[in-house]
Amino acid sequence: MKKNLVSIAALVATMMPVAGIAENNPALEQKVQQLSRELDDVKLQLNQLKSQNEALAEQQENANSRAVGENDNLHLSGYGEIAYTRPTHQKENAKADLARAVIGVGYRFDDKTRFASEFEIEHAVTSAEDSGEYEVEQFYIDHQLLPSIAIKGGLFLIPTGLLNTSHEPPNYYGTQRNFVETVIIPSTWREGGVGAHGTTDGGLGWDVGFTTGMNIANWEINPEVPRFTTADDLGEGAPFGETHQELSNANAQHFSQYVALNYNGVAGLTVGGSVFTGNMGKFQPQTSDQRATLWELHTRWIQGPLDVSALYAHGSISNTEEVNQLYPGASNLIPASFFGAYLQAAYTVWQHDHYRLVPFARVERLNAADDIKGVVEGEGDDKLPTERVFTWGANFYLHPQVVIKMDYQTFKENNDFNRLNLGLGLAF
Amino acid sequence: MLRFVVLLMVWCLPSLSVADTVYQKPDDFLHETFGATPPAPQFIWLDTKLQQSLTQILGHAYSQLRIRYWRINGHTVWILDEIGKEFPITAGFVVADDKIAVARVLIYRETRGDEIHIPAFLQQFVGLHLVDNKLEGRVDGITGATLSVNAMKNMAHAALLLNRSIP
Repeated sequence: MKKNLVSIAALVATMMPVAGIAENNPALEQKVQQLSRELDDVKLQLNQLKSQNEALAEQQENANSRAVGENDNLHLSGYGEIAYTRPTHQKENAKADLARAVIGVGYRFDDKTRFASEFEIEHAVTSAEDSGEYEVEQFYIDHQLLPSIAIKGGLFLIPTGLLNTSHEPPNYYGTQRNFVETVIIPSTWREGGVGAHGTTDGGLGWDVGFTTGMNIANWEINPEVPRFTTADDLGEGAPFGETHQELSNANAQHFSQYVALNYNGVAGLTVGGSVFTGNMGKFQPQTSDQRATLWELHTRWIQGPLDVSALYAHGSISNTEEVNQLYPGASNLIPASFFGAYLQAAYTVWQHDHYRLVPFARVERLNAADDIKGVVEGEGDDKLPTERVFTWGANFYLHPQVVIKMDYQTFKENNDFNRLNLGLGLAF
Repeated sequence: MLRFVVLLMVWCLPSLSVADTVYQKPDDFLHETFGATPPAPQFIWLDTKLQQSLTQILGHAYSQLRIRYWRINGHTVWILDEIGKEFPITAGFVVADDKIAVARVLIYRETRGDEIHIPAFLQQFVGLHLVDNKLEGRVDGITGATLSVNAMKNMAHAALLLNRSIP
């Protein structure tokens, strides 16, 4: 259209000097008038097109501004991971697994109130005969109560550690989640309750709440099935993993409390910690109530290609002696304390568009039963050996949210668990 | 423990929250940049070539036919929207001498990751520029806010590209 206009205008311009000649040439004059009319038509059409485009663009802008929070209220998200593990000394235990497939559904009621949920399937198939599980990981309402405070209620993640609230596969290094934040902190750890949270302009994030807690009655003090036959079993019998309730017919006689603080006021640096404590109830009617407490400190420092993180977590359960003394020789006495710590470093060695290669190394020390009280002499150990795990490998990102992983893990105490891991992870 | 929790909540009251938080209205951002009388907005139409460039940066086409901007004395202001994880983040950028001069989170709508509004994080955007149309300059991430950080970086990149594309 524009080209036509220019062409016609140029033609008319070249014909202007001949206007005087046209007066003596009726045919030429007629042609000039026709071209002039056509030029006017083209100008009119061009102006109409311009108006239509502007109207369309304005409609689209208005529609988009409405879509921000008004019409676009339902949101789907998800994440998942597939893992292949091959123990070096136990090749018969090599395994390929769709470890988890998670779908998240969120809904924005208005600019203050929203709903968040996540539903997880572990190990691909859930049935009475299969090892898979179907779980509700999150299901809560978040509401901006005051300009400075938001509150939440329902089933939500406990804000502890680095991994629990940021547990999607692209967010951590290694095919498997680290052992400290699965055995000692039972990621993904969620409870039911209410909480309040916010972030200050100075970079201090805070989160406090009351939730269901641990139920000591869930502890299996003398399990039939032997524990720790593979590395993945290290979490079996872990203190909090064994007793957390996840709002599944949870005993709510006692509520636990938590406080979490995270400081992000320096670019690239996160420093934080949390405390979770609550009454676990009684293991036997004649024993005292027991209290579970878990505290942790963590830091992460991201400086350009370098990503370093460290965490220490310590847990305790009170009044374990009187319970353990009732079960001499039991294979899984209740620990009085447990701990874990890790140090991890990763470095982006290559990046092109969305592709990114990040080698990493991580050393972990953990003990799910560092102190066992009430052990009858000759009937068992008063502590487990401290396991040390060394993991090294690389994450290769096809996209910031799609990652291929490869790593090797060695175990100091259970070196039969040494294994190669390969993984595919994604989140959206 | 309960007393400590209540004291902590009181201490933290003068703070900003997550989810649909308006840190600064877009009009106020314009007044802050240009004074009492901002210039009238102009428009850049997103032709095929420009949309292709934006798609490379954002991973998707920008959902408008044109983008408005404001310009005076070589400074341009861009107010853009980009989804972090679930809902759009509205951010404002001032570009001067082909570099980011100011970056600001105006409206944040996610339930987590709002640490990107912290001045210490946003200060990293000052000086970002393009080299061979790629974003040059370092922006360190925030734990638990990766998607929001990426959205801000992508919007800064888009603002610099758009600034180069206007007559």
